[in-house]
Amino acid sequence: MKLKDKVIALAFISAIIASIVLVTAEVTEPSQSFDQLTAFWRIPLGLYLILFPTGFLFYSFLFPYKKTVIDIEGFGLSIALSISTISLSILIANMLLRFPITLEHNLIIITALNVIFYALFIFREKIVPHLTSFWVNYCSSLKPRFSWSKFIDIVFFSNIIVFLLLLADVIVKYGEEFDQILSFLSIPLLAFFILFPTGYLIVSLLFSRKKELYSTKLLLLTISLSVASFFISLVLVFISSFLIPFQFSLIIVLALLMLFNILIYILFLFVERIIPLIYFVFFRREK
Amino acid sequence: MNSMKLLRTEFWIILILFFVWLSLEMTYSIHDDYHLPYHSDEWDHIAIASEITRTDQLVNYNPYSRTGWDPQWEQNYHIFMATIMNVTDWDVVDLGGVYTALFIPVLMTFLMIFFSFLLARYLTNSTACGIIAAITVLLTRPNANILGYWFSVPMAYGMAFIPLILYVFAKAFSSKGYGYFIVLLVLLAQGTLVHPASVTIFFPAFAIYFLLSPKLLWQNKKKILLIVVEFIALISLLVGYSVFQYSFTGYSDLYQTLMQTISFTTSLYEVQAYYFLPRFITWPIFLLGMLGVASLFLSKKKEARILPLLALTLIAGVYLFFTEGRIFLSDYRRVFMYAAMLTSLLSGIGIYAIASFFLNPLKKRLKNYFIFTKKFPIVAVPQAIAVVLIAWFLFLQITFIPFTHVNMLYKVIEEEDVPAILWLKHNTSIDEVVLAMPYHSRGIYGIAGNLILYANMARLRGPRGENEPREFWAVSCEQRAKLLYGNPKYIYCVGPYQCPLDCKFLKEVYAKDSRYIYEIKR
Repeated sequence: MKLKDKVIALAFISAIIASIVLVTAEVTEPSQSFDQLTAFWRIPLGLYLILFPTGFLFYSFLFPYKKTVIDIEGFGLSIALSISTISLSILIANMLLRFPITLEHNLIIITALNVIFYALFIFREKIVPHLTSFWVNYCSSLKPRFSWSKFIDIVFFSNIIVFLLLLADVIVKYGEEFDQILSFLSIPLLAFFILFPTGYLIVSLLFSRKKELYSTKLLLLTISLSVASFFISLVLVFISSFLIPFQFSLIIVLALLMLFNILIYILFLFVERIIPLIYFVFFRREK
Repeated sequence: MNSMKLLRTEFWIILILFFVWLSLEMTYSIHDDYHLPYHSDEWDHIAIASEITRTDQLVNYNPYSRTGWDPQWEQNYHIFMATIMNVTDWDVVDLGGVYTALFIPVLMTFLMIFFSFLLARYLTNSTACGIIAAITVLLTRPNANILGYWFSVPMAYGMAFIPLILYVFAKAFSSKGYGYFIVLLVLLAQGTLVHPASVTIFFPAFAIYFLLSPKLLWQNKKKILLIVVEFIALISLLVGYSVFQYSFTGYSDLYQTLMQTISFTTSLYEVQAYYFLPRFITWPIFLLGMLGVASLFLSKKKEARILPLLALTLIAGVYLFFTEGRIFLSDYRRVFMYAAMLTSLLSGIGIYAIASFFLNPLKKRLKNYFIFTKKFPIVAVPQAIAVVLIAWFLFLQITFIPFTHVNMLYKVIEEEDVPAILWLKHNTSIDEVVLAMPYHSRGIYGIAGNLILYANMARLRGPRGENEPREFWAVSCEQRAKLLYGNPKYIYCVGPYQCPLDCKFLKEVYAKDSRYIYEIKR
């Protein structure tokens, strides 16, 4: 174990011990000897806890490449980060989770921060180098990918956002806030939804092994497949509305199309990412 | 090699201890004969932090009346105070809030000195310059009117963190990694929630800094975008919370409300003194500061421009206020104090610039002389004289300038009031109302926690008008009984002018050192 790692571990352990001592002093009766003993030590111990270790652990996580244990800059930034992260966390915990501002709750927050920062430091220092080398080996073992599918994640998640906005347009009543904005946006969003994502996902899945393809051809194919999928969904929903009685609406067609897109995306993830990774982990590395 | 390393470590430890001593000396010397916080604002912050520890929740009302709405622009400062009160449990010696308010100024002064050292050292690549700037930054004159590092107020937090934000900003945009940038985001978020005025002042300087280096702007577009998003989110949260209380109904008055929020006119602060910066920090320090501005602008290090840019934009803001009667993003008192602080810091860089201009050639000659002759270098004498002169100049300045306004400090309560207020703490309930003069009322709430009726206007004000208690003590006993507004249970007064009170409806429960407490018979 390097000196730097030892000092960081020491800061973490001392913070945990300080928290335990402070919380024990708080819950014991004032007449007990333990409380009298800690009454004096509580001031330096408490000040140390809120002014140093949390920031030091955060600083160590952010700057793992620094060779010295702690330099003059690290000392200053540790104090500043301790004050800032603890105050911000107490504020957020109180505003969002209604966490009371008491000693016990503050110590829970401080301890949680220390554990998180120390875990992040260990992760970055010990695990990330291994993961990086693994990832580099894995990426270099892969065959060149079909460039058309490299935006698949962005297209898929923007598709979800567009669907949610269209759904919001249906839910928001006339005259409410955002009604005008959504009405204004609904036509271009609908056009995007019908013309692009489904076809793009299908093309990415079907032709992912191909190295070269003419992009104009592919664009036409994408649009054709998208429009075709939309019409198939439209027909399916239309027929279903007769078989199972429900009111036909465009948003149900879009929901069906969205479901279809999610299935294609999961299939793509499975075929293109999970299977090669499993294959690499269990077969290629052993060779 | 190891011994060199050890020497370096020892040097840093000695330097930090020197900074600690300096901050103790500069902050506590005003408390030599008075061991309580001076300013009404300090007592108000004690009140809010005490209320947080009492209720275990954030406070968005006036604690003196425990009702109404009070926009908490400085919420994180009170959380910080309340956390210190919680973990140290100073309250076992009865004066938890007071000790916290006495501890915070020394911590903030230490951080201001330390961060100024880091900033000046980084911008000039010189530890000597860092040390000189860390001393000269103390030359701003804190006073009761525009506050400063003597007081436990959010503005002192701002003064401590401004040099650090500049330091981290300069490093974040000159390095490729995201380490310093994340630190900057955290510091800006905390700074905005502790004291918004200490962060909004950076906007113009940052904008000009990037306009002067368009290449830097393009290289760091992602980082800049993230900072803009963070600022918009924080300001929306703050304005949404403090101005609209999260009940935003329309855009019709949005522009007007925003302009009112970010612009500060003279009418708000008519009582302010119009300070003249060179006279405030003295002409030599101002001129040295301007020399520091010039030396950093001429520096090869491009990020060194950020410090003089911030100082100049703040000075321009002060000028705008003098000529147009309006200032934007932060109010005049804060902008003026920050301008004075940064000019003082820059004066350290100015001193270093003069010293290196004259001494560097001499240093080279000295080195050669010493290498060849191995004798005591006579030419070192002027250098030694120069160092002694700089040290003497700094010593004279630091022992005189910062304490010029010390006589203008006022006391909220006298130390003789403390035993009487502690009697209230130990013998009454905090829900029982105490009638006292406005200044004493603040001390009573800060130490005993009782509800009060009157407090002169500062960060907070009392629930009732300030003239009522004066009227109460001016009339006869029969009339006094009719003037008991706000349902008080106790009356606190100080002799010989106000007390003793010989009224039938009052029962004396405490009398010591001319301090009297009466219980009101119902």
